[in-house]
Amino acid sequence: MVYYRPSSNEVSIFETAAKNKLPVLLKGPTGCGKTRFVRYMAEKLGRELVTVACQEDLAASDLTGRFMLEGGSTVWRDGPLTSAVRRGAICYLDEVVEARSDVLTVLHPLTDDRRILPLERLGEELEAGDDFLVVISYNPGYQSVTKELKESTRQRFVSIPFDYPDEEAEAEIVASESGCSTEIAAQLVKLGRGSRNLRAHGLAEGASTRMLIYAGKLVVAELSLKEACEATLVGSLTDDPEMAKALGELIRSVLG
Amino acid sequence: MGAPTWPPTPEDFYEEAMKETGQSKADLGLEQEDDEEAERALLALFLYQPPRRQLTDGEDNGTTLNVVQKRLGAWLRMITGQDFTIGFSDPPSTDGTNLFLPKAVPAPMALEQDEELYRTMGLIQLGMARWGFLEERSTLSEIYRDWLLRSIYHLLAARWIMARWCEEYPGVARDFERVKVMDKAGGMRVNVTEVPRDGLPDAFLPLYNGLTINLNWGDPGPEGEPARRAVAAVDRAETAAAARMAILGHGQTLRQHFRKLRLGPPPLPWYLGIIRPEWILADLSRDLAFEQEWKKGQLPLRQLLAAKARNPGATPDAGPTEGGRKGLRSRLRGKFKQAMKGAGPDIANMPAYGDLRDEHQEQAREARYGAAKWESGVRPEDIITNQEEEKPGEDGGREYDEWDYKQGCYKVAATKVFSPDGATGPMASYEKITEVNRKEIKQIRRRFEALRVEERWIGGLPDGPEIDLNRAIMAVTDIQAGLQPKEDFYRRFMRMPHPVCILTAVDLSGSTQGNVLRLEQEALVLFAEGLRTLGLPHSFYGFNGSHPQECFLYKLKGFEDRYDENVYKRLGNLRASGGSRLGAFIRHANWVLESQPQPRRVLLLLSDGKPEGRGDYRGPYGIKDTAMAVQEAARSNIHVFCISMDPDEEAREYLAEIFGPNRFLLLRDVESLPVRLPEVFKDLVL
Repeated sequence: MVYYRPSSNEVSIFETAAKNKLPVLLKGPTGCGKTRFVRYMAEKLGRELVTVACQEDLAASDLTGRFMLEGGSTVWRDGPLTSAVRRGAICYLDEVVEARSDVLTVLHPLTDDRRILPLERLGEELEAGDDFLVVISYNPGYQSVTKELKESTRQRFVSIPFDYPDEEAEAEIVASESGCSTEIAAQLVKLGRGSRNLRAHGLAEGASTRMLIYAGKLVVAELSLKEACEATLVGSLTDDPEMAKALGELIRSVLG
Repeated sequence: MGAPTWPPTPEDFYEEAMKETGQSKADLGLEQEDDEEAERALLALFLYQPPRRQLTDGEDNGTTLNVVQKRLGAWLRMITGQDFTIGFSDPPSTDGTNLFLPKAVPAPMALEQDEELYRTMGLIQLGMARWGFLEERSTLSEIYRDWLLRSIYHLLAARWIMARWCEEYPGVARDFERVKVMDKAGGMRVNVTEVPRDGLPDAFLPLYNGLTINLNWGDPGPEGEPARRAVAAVDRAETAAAARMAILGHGQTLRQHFRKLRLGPPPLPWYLGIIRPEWILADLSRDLAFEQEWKKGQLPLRQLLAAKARNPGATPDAGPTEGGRKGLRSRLRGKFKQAMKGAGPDIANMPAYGDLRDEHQEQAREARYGAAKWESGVRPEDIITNQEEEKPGEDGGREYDEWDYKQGCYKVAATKVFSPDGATGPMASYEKITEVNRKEIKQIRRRFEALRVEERWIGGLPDGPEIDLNRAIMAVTDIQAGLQPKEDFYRRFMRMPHPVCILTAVDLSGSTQGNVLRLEQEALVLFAEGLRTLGLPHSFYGFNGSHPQECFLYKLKGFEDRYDENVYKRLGNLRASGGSRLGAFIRHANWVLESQPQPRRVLLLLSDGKPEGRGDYRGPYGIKDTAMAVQEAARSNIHVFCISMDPDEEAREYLAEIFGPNRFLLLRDVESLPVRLPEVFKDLVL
């Protein structure tokens, strides 16, 4: 079973939403455990999970499917969304705001009481089964106007907010996921939390839990703690030499 | 006393005030307990500006704060998790919200050591705020009156704070160890006066144990016993509350012990800084009206005169005449101005915020209310007024409704916004800013240049250098299905302009007069230089108003305007006055933006405080009307973002209420505005 440590009532909310066939929106900062949570819930509910990592070139036809040439003829190939509808899976669209706007439009009939997916090219209308569920995620911390979720889309979903876990829980997650000792995990978490204090004060984002797990893994692979932190926490968070130096000082202050 | 520093420090001012009135402290009754307020009034007269003590000319300095400020601020934020602004003070100090550090550390220059010293000074001051050593008003009042107790309190508190930081951060412990032995860190001071390090009374010595090792210590003997016991008690305290209790308790005992030995306050190692309770006490007691009174200088003078009247022992003939006393503040101003000619802002002519004429305090006219009364269960944002499309009046102004949260409906045509061209001034103002910031402008341009266009493959074109495979397959399937295929199966690598336009509006209300206005102006010029490179449609406006029917959104550069001499002159010569009826300005800016063809439209606001204007446009009224205007903008697909320079601790709450989370930036370090504005823009639209 995928490791996931609940931090609040997110599991029961997701279960209730899934039971009532209501689409779910997960919002929270980068690397705080949204994707991990969906994997955990899919396993817990015994449903197949289809994950789509959205990016700016992802169009509606990439999700629904398209005709392909095979030999001398054309063959329809389902996209991930269509196949999830057919199989009654959970379709998880990660960072949905990155996708083109027509992706959200194609989700609309699936996320209201109709629960249908029109396939115009096939002249077909797929009805979603009881087990099908749409889950989307995004990071509301982005200030960009190009990365906003429209009100009309947001209101179609049951929303579950995510944030980084509290210090103790995060250390437990880092230790469990990376295999490092609890002492090292505690130091990494202290560093991570320190870097998050710089959000909107020079850093776009602080260190994510995922990043701390990477650092822990590097330590387990016998890199020194300092090297592991510098490789993950400094270089990945900033290109600004002054900020990098401040992060380096933070590492020195925490590790001694 | 030498020439006063700018702004005058409380000590300077106190001295001057005593000299000016021709009386001693005793004459004014200031040594009596009930006149604490009067003394504080004098001391705090200019405390809204932190003192900027400069190292004297010609003195060889160590590293200056500006060299390390960026990474120091970042490091302190990461370690403490506290939000603060860095200002200047020598010795270091804090008012609980802001951290004041020396502009430079003493010579010799040694970057690494000096940085350690700055880090230590910052941590001690922020520790004072973090662990509540400056929270208790009664404690602050007590140590305010008594320098001896203040020194003891400070030494013991710093000791406990340093131990906590060391426990939490092993690397910090190493910094502290090194600072303790630094010659430049251990200079001893009582208040701001340097005292010799050698020959300190034995009774004091245990207090310095672990704080500095620059003293030629002997064995303190029995005289040092109370101090030793106090130090041990503080070391045993596990929580901040326990430490505070131990410090106060033992502090009183030590105070009596030192008094009995006829000793003055124990001096403090320079790096420990100074506690200034008067800053915090003044801060705790202020509200808007109170603040204005302070700024106008009326309250301190009134308190001073009241103190004198209460003291029957004072000899009226010894002081100046009543008329002379009334002129105290203006004469002092003159004196400081003369001494500091050209070195600081002209405070005599600086209008206080909200300095309103009485006739403007009344409502503009009897308000008419919109028919769409807010009924229970209906969300205010769902209510659309039945107001017709606003049309410019004969006088060129546009009327806008205003949301009255008390009535739950819009006041029809409650405001009128005019949009004249901004005032102009000498071209040299703009040129000076670009000259001084040449390096920054170059950097901004380079960054914007890199973001100038979006480069990507565009498919579905009727012509192009490559086949769009997906479209080609669709065409083939259509042919096979007997349909007419679309001839759009080519793709091309294209440079697309960003489909965004931005209107930047800066607050030109009276409260911005001075430093904020200077920074807004500098930020606008730098931003304009960057946007010119980017070639994205943009405009600049400034807003203020003297009356609900006389709100002005000054055009500095319209979307249609090219950069010409007039635009440069307007951008380089901003002028501030009046209030900020922000809801009306947002509505008018929305109207300007709605005429732009770009699908993404951004309104970027720069402000320094709450939306406040004439009449009842204050507090929740102004906040809720502005929030409603932002929602109206959202309905028109206009994205509103605000950069606020409000120093108020509660600013975050009202900004979130108006703009929503992640739709504002609360800039504590206002000096960074010129650099942060282009960065915010980049995050916002690119």
